[in-house]
Amino acid sequence: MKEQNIIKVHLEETLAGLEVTPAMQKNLINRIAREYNRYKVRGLRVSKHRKLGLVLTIALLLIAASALAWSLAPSIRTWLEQRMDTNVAPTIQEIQATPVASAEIGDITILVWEAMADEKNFLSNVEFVIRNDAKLVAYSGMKQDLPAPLDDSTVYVGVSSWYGNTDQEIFTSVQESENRVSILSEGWHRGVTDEPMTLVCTTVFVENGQPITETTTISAPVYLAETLETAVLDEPLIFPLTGFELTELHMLRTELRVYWSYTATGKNQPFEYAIRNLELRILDADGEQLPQKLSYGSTIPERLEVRIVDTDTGEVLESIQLTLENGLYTVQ
Amino acid sequence: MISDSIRAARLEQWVEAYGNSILRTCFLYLGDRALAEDAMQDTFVKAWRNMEQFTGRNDSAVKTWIVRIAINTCIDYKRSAWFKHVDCTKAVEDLQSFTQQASAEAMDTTLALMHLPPKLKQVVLLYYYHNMTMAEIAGVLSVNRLTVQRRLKKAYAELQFVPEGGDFR
Repeated sequence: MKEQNIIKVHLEETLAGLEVTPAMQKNLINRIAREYNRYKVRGLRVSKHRKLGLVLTIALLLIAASALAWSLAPSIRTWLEQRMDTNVAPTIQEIQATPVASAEIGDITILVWEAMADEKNFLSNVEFVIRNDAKLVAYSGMKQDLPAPLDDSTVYVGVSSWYGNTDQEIFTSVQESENRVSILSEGWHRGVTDEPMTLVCTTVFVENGQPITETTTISAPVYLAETLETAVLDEPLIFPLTGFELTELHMLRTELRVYWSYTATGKNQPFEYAIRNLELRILDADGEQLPQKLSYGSTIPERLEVRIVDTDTGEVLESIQLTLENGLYTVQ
Repeated sequence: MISDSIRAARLEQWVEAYGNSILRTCFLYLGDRALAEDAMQDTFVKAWRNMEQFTGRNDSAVKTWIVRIAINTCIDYKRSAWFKHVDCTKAVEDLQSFTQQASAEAMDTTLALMHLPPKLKQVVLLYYYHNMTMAEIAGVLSVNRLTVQRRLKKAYAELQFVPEGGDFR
């Protein structure tokens, strides 16, 4: 018997009694249900301490920012004014024209343009530039994601980023041109740290249809994205017919993305509505339901509509329109 | 977008197919039954979150992906400050709690593997226990194939096994 069989047989023999029990499966399902509800019902949870911290941070930031804006050179002040006019989160790329880290693999230069993190997420933006005639194509960095057959005149490139004790990542978008590929990936971390982001860059060169993989690790300093804007509900919204109450609504825009969360109760529901499957939905000005998380670079919506909907029939029972003014959502 | 019912059915299918091997991998890596159960759960929660990425892939790709998540989850656990306080002799007690009729030889192999340094343990688990090829392991661990080969050789030496004709695929 070969070594590998002996080892596997021995391990199976020793670990035979270690199995996923029905109780473990139930726990797993409960955890996933909680996870699902966290996003579906409440969005991002914000604790009271964090809320207080946020308010204080924002107040201090506003004071510091206004003092700084007037003392800065006129050109920078103009830039800030332009940013405020367009109401778009600036990215690191706009602020700096040089990469935060770089590396070389053969004829390929790897440039890290962004390595950012905020309270919850991190993001990396890595560009590969090739100096010969080969074509660059992005892939996930995992062997099974390579196309078949492989093309000898193509170099396949991928990135895996690590930050804040995790490498959980979502491969979000890719931009490809003739000799350049940009890969933007993002993920959740387990707490902001002082440690740099680790980017494992993989390049696959192809010779006679066979892949030759080379990996390089880049350490990039992380830019901690600041909070730029917040918005809250002016006062709780009461839906008189169905007894729903939207008690809290928070929007938070960091340089990285916009987060939102809300808390609603239905404790005062009249009996005839309490027995129906009702749901509170929040929609933007285009009538689209807000996603679990608004995407990178988006802005805080200026108009919202809060609807109470019968999920069985689709009937809208009540609706309230909100507009944003000075960080407060008020009834239109 | 995958509907909730399909997601739930798929997760159930994954837990059914890979749950035991993932749980055992986490135990061999962490040496603590309770932690291994947590890591197994974390693995499937992460897989559930990112299910969209794995729509339409074949079973072996899904398995490789889930194993990759499990290994990374275990690495995260090992890195955490809390883990540094875990009593490593607990592994033996835990093993005895669910091992009923294993031979002394099998116990020795398991304990020897559990005492390997993490990097060597990873490759041994993936190569021997999950029957992955070296190229697949390189993908899972984001290292190159030669590194995998080197680590396997080192692991051989530490486990004091004699390789039979370089059984590398």
